[in-house]
Amino acid sequence: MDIQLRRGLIEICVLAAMLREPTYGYKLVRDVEPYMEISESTLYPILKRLESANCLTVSSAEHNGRLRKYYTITPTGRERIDEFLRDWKDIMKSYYYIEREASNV
Amino acid sequence: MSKKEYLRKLKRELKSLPKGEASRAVDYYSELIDDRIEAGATEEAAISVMAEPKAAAMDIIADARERGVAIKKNDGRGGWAALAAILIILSVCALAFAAWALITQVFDRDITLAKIEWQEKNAVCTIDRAGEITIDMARSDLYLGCSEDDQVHITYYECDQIKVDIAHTENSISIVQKGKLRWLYDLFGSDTRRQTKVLIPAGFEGHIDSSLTTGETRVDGLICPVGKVDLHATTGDFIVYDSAMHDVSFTMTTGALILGRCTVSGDVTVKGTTGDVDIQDLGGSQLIVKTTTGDIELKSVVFTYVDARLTTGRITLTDVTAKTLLLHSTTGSIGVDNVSAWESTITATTGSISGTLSGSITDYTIESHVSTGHNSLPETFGNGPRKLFVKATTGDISVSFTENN
Repeated sequence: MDIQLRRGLIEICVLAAMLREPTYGYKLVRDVEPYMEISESTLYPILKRLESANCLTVSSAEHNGRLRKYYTITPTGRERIDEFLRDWKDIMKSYYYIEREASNV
Repeated sequence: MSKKEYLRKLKRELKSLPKGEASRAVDYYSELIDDRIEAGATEEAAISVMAEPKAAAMDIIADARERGVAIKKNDGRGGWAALAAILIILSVCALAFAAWALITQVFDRDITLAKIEWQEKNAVCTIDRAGEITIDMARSDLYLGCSEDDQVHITYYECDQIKVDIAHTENSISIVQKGKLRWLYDLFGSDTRRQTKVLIPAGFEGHIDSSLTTGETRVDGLICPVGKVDLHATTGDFIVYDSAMHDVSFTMTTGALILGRCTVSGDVTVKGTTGDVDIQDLGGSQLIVKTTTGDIELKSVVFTYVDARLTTGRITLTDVTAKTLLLHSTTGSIGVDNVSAWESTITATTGSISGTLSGSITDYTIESHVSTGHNSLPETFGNGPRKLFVKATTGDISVSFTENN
């Protein structure tokens, strides 16, 4: 898969994983893993990028005597997901067209 | 690889990032490792799923660069600076050598320091059996031994710059060194100190007090089974063998103590800072050893009360018998091998405690604690006559008993 496309997809997956509730690094990896190949080291830059793009906020909370960072999605992040879903609809239109034409020949 | 090691390597790979940026990344990895361990993985396994520190760091740095973070160029300037410094030092040495060669070979001048002309002197004094012998010397080794008659025999050395005052009454002798050599002698001189020999009659019951600044104190065959011996040294070692004493104390700063094959009827007190303490074949009433970074080793030692403690270093006990035993190490570890005591308190803060205690576990009433380490002892156990309290805060406890049942 194209690297840019893959990166974009992981970003949306990560944002989607925090829609229900604020989440933390380990849980993110576990939740996204079944759908997208992701590791701790690929996740970190993505979280940083999403943070600097105001798509999520980071807060620290105590857990078992140590600090854990929790990631919360922002309205900008939510918008990003909606935008993705809209864009993808168009892409899917093209997809079905391509598929139909390809199977007819 | 342990978590600590992984994070240390990662931190090193992230040197080119601004401090905050690097520490945030390290915190992130630390948290994920902790979370994996909490989810049931071993430390090893949690680390093994992480990217190698180098690879992880490359991702982090590449991303930071994209976000416009200033990356320090690591072009090995530090290495060049070090190389330049070495070259400068080498050239200074070469110049000094050339100058020395020119003066000594070409002009035929001797520039070594004047040889010290030591003169041997002797003194013989009679002293009351319960008297006081005081020795205070800045630059001398010292030998304390047994006199062949009932008088004190002193052999000492003087030179132009250094004199020795011997003041003598019927119940006191004081041996005080005066004067000093130029500091150059400490760097380039040779034969800068001699050994002062003090032979004391057998059965002396008084007080021997010695303070040396630079120099080794050797006690061999001293027989003062009733009196008190206090030895101090700043940089010298103590070597004490084959002597009989009542109370004896050693105070040293950088020196070490070797004490063996002695009979002590009273207390032995050792206060050390960086030197090691090695005590063998010794018995007595109280043995108190405290050091800061020196190791403590006790072997074949029998005392009523043993208290050994240090901050950094290892405490090792082999074949030690005591009624009360107190061992404490702050960051070092404690090893016991065939140690027998009625009441033992063994504590370590970050070090581990290991070894064997004499008897069977049923001889003991045990209380033990660890916070994060592994513990081979039960936390509370039994109702035996021997009391054992062992506590390791972050280290492991692996203590067993010589008799299994």
